[in-house]
Amino acid sequence: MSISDSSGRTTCELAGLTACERIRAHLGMKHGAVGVRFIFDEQELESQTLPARPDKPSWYCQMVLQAAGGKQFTARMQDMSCPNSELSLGFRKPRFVNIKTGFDKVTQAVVIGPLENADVILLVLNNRQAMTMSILMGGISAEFRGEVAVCGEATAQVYHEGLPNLSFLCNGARMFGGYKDSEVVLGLPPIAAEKVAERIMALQKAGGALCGCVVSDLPREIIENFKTIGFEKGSDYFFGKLCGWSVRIYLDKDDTGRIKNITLYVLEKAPLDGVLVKPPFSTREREGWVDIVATFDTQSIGADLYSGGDKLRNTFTELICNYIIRTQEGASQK
Amino acid sequence: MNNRYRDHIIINALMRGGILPPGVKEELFDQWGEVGYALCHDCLEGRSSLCGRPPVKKHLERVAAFYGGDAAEHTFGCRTAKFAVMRAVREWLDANPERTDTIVVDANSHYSTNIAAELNSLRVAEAPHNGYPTYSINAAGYEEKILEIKRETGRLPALAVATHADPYYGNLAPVEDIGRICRELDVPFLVNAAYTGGVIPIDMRAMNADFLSVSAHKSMASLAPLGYVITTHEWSGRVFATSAQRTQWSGRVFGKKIPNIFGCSIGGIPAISSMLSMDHVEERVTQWDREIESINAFARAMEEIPDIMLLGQRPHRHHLLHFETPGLWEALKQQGKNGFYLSEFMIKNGVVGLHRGMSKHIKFSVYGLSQGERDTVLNLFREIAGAKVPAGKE
Repeated sequence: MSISDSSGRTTCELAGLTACERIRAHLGMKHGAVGVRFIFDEQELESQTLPARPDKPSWYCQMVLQAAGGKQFTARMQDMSCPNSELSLGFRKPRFVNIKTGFDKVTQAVVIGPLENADVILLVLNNRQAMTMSILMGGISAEFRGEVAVCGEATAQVYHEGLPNLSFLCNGARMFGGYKDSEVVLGLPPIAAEKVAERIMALQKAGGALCGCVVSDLPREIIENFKTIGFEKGSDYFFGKLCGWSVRIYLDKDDTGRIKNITLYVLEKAPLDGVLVKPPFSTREREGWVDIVATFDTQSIGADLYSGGDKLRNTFTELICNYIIRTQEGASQK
Repeated sequence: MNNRYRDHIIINALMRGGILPPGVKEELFDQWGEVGYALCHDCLEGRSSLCGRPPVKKHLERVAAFYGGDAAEHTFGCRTAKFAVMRAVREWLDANPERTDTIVVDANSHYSTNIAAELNSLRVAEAPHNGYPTYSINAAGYEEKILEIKRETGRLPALAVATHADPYYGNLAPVEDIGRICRELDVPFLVNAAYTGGVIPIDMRAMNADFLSVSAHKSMASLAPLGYVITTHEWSGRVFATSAQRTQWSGRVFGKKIPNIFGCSIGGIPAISSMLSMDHVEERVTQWDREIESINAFARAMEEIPDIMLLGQRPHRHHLLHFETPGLWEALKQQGKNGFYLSEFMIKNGVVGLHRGMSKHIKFSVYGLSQGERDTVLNLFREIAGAKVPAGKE
């Protein structure tokens, strides 16, 4: 079973690179996520640009681990060293053993590595990372027998049932696949990866200091977005220049830790009458300095901190340049 | 093994208050420097704080009086002093179930305050600061937090802790007001004076403080590691309670040891350095008003360099200066240099103490430096920012 969006594409593209990268960053995974796509149509093999086949026959679990390190393969049955993988991945029907594979059609190839359009996403995790994933997912089922593991328990079973499964691997994977004793493999339908990524984003938005005063607590995207509009990260705010003003931007959080308000500070070494401001900006004198301050609800000024770009810069520019006026020549420290 | 910075001007805010006064270094190492347990030759009681020769016991009485307290013990540092207080509070709490195990701490606290709480299984609630650009602590924040805890738990917090001068912005907390609130609400009060005790005149009675923790190597012109915990008659029995243990098999007792300070504290050079520096410390706090005035003059001169601004209270009331320096950062960026260049540039020019890698913000102190040394520091900042020396200030 593969999960499709309205366009008919598998949802891995929606879960996509970003979702998997987010999971990897959150867990601190050594390995990258591995996508697995089943190809049943021989013509599809010829019509698409696919990764190359492996140089020599190899264990499926070994190819997965190599893909976790960045390689990509299109593996056909001839490329499989392990007969269990041939059966569990549907390359051939069992003749002498009683294994239910669940495939109606014969698998022609599996594409191992790319996350786009993948049917299953595999994560190689250590124990702690598996624990964190379980917390993020509200629990994970671990149906395993210690045999036919990466190919069967983590890939084929997830493909057929559309549910995540944690495998503690098999002897083949540990002996030939190159997996460490501490490693396990989690198979995820792409939609599940997407949900985990959303959960991580929500946690990042809610997490960290409530005062909003620790920039390192903020999601990386926000920090990057500020950078693209010319604002550098300070320890507790962003700083930059707009219309010649030295501007600080402080992100205030509410009691639940969500970023609610944006406070703009302009600091001018000048007497109080050296600047003129329009509401909602106000001024206060601070021994030779004028602090010009206004706090805005992020939504009311249309500031999308996650999208950033010109729109975000224009929002701030408009506020700063139209509402604050320098009245005294020489007061500026432009 | 050479000290690369032996002849440098030190501007590290951690260090300025701990530098030995003239003459002490020579006496210290000439007379006492050969042995680690230099205090202990004539120890009769089995605890360094009870030594009569050299007069540690008298010195501790002097320290207690100097800070307006009744009893003092020397510790392995200010953090150990805070640990001793919180350990005593924890034991007191165990016998007083009408208190919660939450303590109220300011949002500018040094990490060691929070670690001491953690070690004693005390939960920390924060009294907030007022944010950018002053980051001041307000006494009302303590009152609100104490009452909030009382409302939520039906019990009073076990302790309130205020950082007298915070280690981030050099702000002075309104400890007298906080102490008054704590007294009115019946919450024991600890003032962490790591950055002030020995630099600024302190009277813990005026602060309504039950405990004072001090760092001798930060602020009392002494060698590390050394701190003091000072308390009142009311609390000294708990904080300085002696060991009550008798071992089961051998029957040994340790009746002179104080568990909260790990039995017996520093018995060597750091304690002696503090004893030798005490006259100097007592004298220098009387000069504080003049000193802070000149430090503020230095800060104003720094702010004449474009895009540099002092954070924290104005006028500043402590020697730790935290400047916001996007101007320096920009100047370095234009020169193709990274943040590490700033500290290296200063070191190359004989000034040590800036945090490596920092150039958007810098934190340092010129406390106790001569005017010539301050000018050297200032001119180096001007040079790196590409700023001209203002007319008449060359």
